Amino acid sequence: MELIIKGVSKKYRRDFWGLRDFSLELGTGVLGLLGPNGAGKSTLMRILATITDATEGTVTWNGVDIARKPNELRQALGYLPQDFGVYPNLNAREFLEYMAAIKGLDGKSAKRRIDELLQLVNLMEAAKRPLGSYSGGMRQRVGIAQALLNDPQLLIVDEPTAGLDPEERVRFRSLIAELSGEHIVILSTHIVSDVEAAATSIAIIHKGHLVIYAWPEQILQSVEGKVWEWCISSQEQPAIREKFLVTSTARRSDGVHVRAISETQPNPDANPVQGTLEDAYLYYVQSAREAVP
Amino acid sequence: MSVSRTLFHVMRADFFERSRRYSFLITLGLTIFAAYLSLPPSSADYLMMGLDHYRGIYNSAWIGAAVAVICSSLLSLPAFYLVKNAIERDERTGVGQIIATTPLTKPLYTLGKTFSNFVFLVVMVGVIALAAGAMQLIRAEVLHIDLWALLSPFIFSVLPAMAVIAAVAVLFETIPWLRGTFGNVVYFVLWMVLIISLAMNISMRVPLFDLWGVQVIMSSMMKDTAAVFPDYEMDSFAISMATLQEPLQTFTWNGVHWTVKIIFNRILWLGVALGISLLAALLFRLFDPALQKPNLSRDRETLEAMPSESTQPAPKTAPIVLTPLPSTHRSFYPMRVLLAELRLLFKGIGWWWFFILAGLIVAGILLPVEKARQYLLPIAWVLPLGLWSALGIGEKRHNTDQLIYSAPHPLSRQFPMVWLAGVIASIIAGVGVAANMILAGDWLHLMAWATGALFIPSLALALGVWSGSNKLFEVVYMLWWYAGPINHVESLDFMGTGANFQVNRVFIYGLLIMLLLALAVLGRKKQLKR
Repeated sequence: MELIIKGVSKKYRRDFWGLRDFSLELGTGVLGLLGPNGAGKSTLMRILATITDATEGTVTWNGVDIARKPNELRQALGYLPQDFGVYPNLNAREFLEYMAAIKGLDGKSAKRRIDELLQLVNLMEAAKRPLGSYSGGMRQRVGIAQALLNDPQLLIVDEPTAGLDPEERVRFRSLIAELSGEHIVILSTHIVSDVEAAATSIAIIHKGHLVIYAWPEQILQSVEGKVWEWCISSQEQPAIREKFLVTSTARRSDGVHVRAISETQPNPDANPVQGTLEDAYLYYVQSAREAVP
Repeated sequence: MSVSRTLFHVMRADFFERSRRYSFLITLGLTIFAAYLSLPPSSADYLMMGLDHYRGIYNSAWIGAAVAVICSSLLSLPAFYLVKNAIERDERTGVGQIIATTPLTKPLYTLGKTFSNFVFLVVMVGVIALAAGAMQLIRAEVLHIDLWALLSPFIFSVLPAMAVIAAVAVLFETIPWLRGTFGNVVYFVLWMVLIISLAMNISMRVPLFDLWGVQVIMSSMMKDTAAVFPDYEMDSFAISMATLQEPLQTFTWNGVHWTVKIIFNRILWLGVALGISLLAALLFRLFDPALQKPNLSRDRETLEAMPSESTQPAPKTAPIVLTPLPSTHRSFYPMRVLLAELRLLFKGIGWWWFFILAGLIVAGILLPVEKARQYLLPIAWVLPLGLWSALGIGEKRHNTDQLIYSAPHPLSRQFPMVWLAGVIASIIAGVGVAANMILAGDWLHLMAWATGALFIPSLALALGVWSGSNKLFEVVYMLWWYAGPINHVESLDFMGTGANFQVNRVFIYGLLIMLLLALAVLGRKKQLKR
């Protein structure tokens, strides 16, 4: 099972590229795709989900070019787009039955799978309510369920935990981690903690370019010894933000506790602390901004 | 913020949203083409706006008045459907809920929407007026352009009519049962009634009947024609493409003398538009999502039995157990897809619909076959209008397109089943009449019936896929239905309701069905790769 993305670019307008020369080779595991808004994450997801064609480059699924034979991949695909809708007059079970028919599941398998999925996404009790009466989080759970209907070998999920409450988010993370052994999962999100919890590899993308593709620990290594914390007055904040990459601030009784990334000790009072994935992500994005403004 | 400023900004945002769509350019292009067709050269064998075989020479007065009459009476049909989406768009995009939390009052909101509808229509009318001026130069019968004579019919006849249409569109959007397909049909019927009453009262000049400001122009034209050509039969006119039976004769017409009384009568219609808009404000329930939930009454019992999300006990973190699904369990099950599409199509329809359907089926069997064919079949094949018009647009309307299009073989598996579900809707609605034909051995008309059953969903699917909206099919179908099955214009009678149905029409419609299906497939193919 392998997905190879080779030199993929997507041009939207005459001089606007959503993705530039993007290459990755993926095997089983969870790829966490991180990047700021407009970085090209959803463009990449849509290309991989065969919704849109790449302008340049190829994507192959088990050696088959998905632009030429999209159905080879679609048979094995579960896709949760960032922005999707449901049929408001159908209830959750009916909607999943509809999607199961579209995905080519036989009746018996579909019924068993839908029961399991409704349980999994905690919608069993609400399964007979029309989807039009669902909250945003409940709809998102229906979306997750439909993506898993055909037991996909390749699961592509774009901002899957948007609108989920903390408890559901934890359930979803566990599910993704569970799937990582035998599936390829591509998880795009802004929530770094989701990636931290589930991803076996991470790709950071900026302005359509791949900034880094590495194991989480390799990414964490890049900020080792560069993350500092110290206390300042609130008046000093603008100057500090100007000078350093500040990754977080917290107001306390003794002043503002600043966490920042710097190659050298930024202040005599600054103490080195353990870097997090969020620190590393911001570090890479900042470096990419400086390289490609 | 002052009232006028608020109105201006509601209008401005709406106008930009509409005018930056491709459909706006397409509509403008079609409108200009219609203006071109409406002023044929003197060598043509038809008139679009004429009095028997007479017409005025193409000076500014005649061209302005003729195009204004066509514009006012005929544009009033598509104009309504073009603008009847201002509130729906705010609801769909979620902007409505943001607006509902601002200090904007309901009357200001509906007035703003009416105003924005009106401005949109004024721009279209303005383009038509410009095209009319250009046509005068192209036809070159009189080269001097008299701006007042050219534009005054647009200002006094067309604009008040467009103001009323703009307000009626908002009113229809604020009344829940007039928002959808039923409202589109109701407007079509209203428009037909107005057209017929206009034809019957053309020379009476009763302002009550003259929403479009056509009577004042037509009566002046008729009077002047009769003065020049004594053999002209008063009240004889055509506002449609009419073939000339005799050689064309022209005369110089100097236009309508717009008196204060006429202008006052026209301004009254602006007051009517204002009144309708304020009535819409009274009926408008703002954007309360609780009032927009679909068919909650049907599911009330389920809803009441269900605790709301916030009162549910915290979910247990049960171990995740998903049974692996071998790939051998995945294939194409056409029957399952078809049943799924049928459920999607019929879900959400009220019991009354099935009650009427049952009545039509029983009546179709019991009535004499001739009567069933002529009168009942056209009625039976209007009932599923809302089902057909949903064909091919559901994925886009409900934003499920990415889910459906990323499933295996969306074009060869799901799409044909969408069409087939539409065909089944036709068959169910017309089954009573078909059974009657079989019992009577009327095989010729049964063939026509089958042609109709295939033609309607094919037309719906093609127009739905390409326009992305239900309205185009609804308007085209209702016009086709009125001209063919109801008025027995033979070439348009796809159901074979007339007595003179011929087998060759089955072949012609068979070709048309294939063409429409090919168009639909092309359109869907285009949607699959955005």
